[in-house]
Amino acid sequence: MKTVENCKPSDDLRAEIWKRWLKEHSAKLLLFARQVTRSAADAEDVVQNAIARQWGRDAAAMEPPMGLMICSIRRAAIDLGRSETRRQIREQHYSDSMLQEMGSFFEPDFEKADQQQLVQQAMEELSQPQREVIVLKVWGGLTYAEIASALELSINTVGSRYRYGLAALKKKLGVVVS
Amino acid sequence: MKENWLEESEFEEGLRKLRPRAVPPSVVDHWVKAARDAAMRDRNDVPVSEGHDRGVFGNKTCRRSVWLAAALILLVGLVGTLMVQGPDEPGGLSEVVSISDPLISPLRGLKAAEGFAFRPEALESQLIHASDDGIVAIVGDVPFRRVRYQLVDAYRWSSAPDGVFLEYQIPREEVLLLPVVTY
Repeated sequence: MKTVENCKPSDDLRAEIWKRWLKEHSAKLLLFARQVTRSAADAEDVVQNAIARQWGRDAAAMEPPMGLMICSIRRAAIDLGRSETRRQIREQHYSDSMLQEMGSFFEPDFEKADQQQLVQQAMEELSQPQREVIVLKVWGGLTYAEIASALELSINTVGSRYRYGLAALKKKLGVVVS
Repeated sequence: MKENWLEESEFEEGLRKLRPRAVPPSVVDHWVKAARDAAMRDRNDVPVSEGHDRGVFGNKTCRRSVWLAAALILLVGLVGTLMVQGPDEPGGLSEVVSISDPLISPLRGLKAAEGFAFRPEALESQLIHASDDGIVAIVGDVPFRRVRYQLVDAYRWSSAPDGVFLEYQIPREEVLLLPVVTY
């Protein structure tokens, strides 16, 4: 029997549920974070930051809310971008090992390595708003309405960004391939 | 890139097949642990508004249950004392009294009731089920989330001089309506 002071029934259970949820969705969140940050390290930072914010802010959430998590990642990325100190450190780091910083967006796959590289390259050439929407729709599996809610945009804006972004991506990939 | 990517839906399908880089489970574990640690630090710094995080005696529902149990014990003790006063109850009480229904007779022989000094010794709250109803209301700009915790509280009271203890369980449900802070 536990002592009275130690009775906190929800914390461990909640942590377990969050871990399970994150094991399923963290790849999508990280890929989204890569679109709004400049490096893989920054992306990891903002995802961790968003998880901490959501854990603390909504103590009753048995599962992390995907929309709010995306919103938090975006805000954390903006905060990070505004931080002068972080920017200086990052720029220094970039100049030291840019290639090392910029890891692949995708799971290593020998057969699709060329495709992955081309798609990543083409994605990086798109504007950030288009990249955000494409990542959330294609790899995040979110609907237009969910994306609109998470990014605080209208559904029409999301739809047009997606269509134009996808068309641009297709064009770039076509040009690269031909 | 394959030619069939020219069709938009097939193009999307082709993109989807490139799976995002997975996050190692150890990193996920680290993220959750860091989040818990940060929340714990915050909890030590500032008072937490959510009831179920304030510990059992800090929680209004639990506190009410404890007071209810204390009142019940006093009532039972009083009844026991009155009944003990009759001369036809010579039998003693075993060391351990387990009472599922406090109004049933085991307390008839409770000699210790004269120096009635039960103290709460332990309380175990076991979470049986938790459910999240999601956002159920928006007041002004603040969305509210409703969660339900179904618990069984196992109480243990003891009287130190006699070594007698009393255990009982109370099922309960906590329904919390919590504001969700958005950015």
